[in-house]
Amino acid sequence: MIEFTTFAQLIVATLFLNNVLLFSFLGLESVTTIEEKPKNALKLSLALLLVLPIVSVISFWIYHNLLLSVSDTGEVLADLTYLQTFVFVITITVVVVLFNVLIKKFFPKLYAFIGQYAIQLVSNTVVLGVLLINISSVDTLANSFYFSVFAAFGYGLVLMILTFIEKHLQESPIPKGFKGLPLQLIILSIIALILYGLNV
Amino acid sequence: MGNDIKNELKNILNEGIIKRNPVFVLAIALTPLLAVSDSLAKALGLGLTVLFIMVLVNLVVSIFKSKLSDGALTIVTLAIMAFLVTIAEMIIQVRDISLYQDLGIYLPLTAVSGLILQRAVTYSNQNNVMKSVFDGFAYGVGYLVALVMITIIRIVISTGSITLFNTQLRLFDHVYSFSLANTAFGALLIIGLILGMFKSFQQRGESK
Repeated sequence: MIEFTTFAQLIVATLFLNNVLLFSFLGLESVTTIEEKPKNALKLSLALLLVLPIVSVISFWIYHNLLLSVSDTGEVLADLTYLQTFVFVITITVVVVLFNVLIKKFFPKLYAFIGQYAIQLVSNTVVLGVLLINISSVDTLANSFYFSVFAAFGYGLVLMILTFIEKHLQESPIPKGFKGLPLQLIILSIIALILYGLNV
Repeated sequence: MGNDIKNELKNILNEGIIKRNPVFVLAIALTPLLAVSDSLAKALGLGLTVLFIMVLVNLVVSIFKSKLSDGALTIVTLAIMAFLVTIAEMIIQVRDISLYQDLGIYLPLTAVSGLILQRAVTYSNQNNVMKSVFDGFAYGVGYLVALVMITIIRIVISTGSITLFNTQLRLFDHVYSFSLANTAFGALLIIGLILGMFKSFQQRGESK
C-alpha cells in the first residue's frame, strides 16, 4: 500500500497521500465527539499522538515475535497470525487503560487536559486501523514507530483544519439539516480532493 | 400476553430499521460504510458480518449481564467482539478468500465498531435475551439495508449502470457518469450529501 523508500517519502505519504482520516476513513466517529471545537481536536490528537506509537511498537513486536515465528532461513515455524485481531484489541485495551492510570497518577495536569479523550481511544478505529496497516506494509520496528507518529499527526492535522473551517462557516447560511456531520463529511471530501490532486 | 410480546418485537424492528436507522438517523459506524460502498459484494459481505456479530454479541452480553459490573462492561464487550470477529475472519478466509482480501482492514475493524458496542452497552445490558437478540437483528438489518442502498447509489453515479443478479441495468449513458465517485473524495461527498438530505427531510417532517 505504502512505499517506504526514503524517510521524506514516508512523511509525505503518511501525512497527505495516505492520510488515515481522508483516505482510509479511520476515526470518523471521533469527528462528532469533538463538538466543532479546535481545543477538543487538539486534546484528541495529543492523546492519540501519545498512545498510538506505544501501542504500535508493542503490537508490531508481538506480531513478529509471538504470533509469527520465522527461522533464520526464512522458513515459517509457527503461524498464529489469524489471531491478530483478538490480540490487537486486547493490547490496545491494556495499553490505553494503563496509560490512563499512569498519567492520572504521575501527570495529573496532563490527565485533566486529555483524560476524557484518552479513554475513548479504546474503541477508536484509528488505533486498530493503524496497527493493521502497520503489519501489512511496514517492515521494521523503527518504521512502525515513525509511521504511527506521522499517522497520528496527520489525523490531528486534518481534524484541526476541519474544526477551523467549521468555525468560519458558523455564520454562513447553511441548510439546517446539513449542520453537523453532513457538513463535516463534505468539508473532508474537499480536503481529500485537494490532496488527491497531489497523488496523480 | 402473546400479543404484547409480538407488538414489542415489532416496535424493536421498526426502531432499528427505520426510526433509528444506524446510518441515516444515528450516523454511527461510518468508517466501513465509506470504505466498502464501492462494490456490492463487499457491502453485502460486510453488512452480513456486522449483522451476525451484532446478534451474537447482544446474545452473549444479555446472558452474562448480571455478572458484569459497569466498569468492566465496555472492556468485556470489546473482548467478546474481538473474539467473534476473529472467528468470522477465519470463516470468510476459508469460504471466500477474494472477498477477505477485498475487505482488507475493514473486516477486522468490525471489532471496534461503534454501532455494535453502543447497542451492547446501552441495550442488551438492561434487557432480556430475546429482546436483545431482536434488537441486534433489527439494527444489523438497518445497517445492511443502508449500506446496500448507498452502495447502489454510488455505483450508479460512478458508472451509470448497475449489475444485479448477472443482468446489467443501464440507467444513463457512461459519458454522463461521475467516475470520481469511486474515490475517497466521492465517498465522503456523496455520503455527506445523502445524510444531509435525510436529515433535512426528517426535520421538515418533524416541524409539520
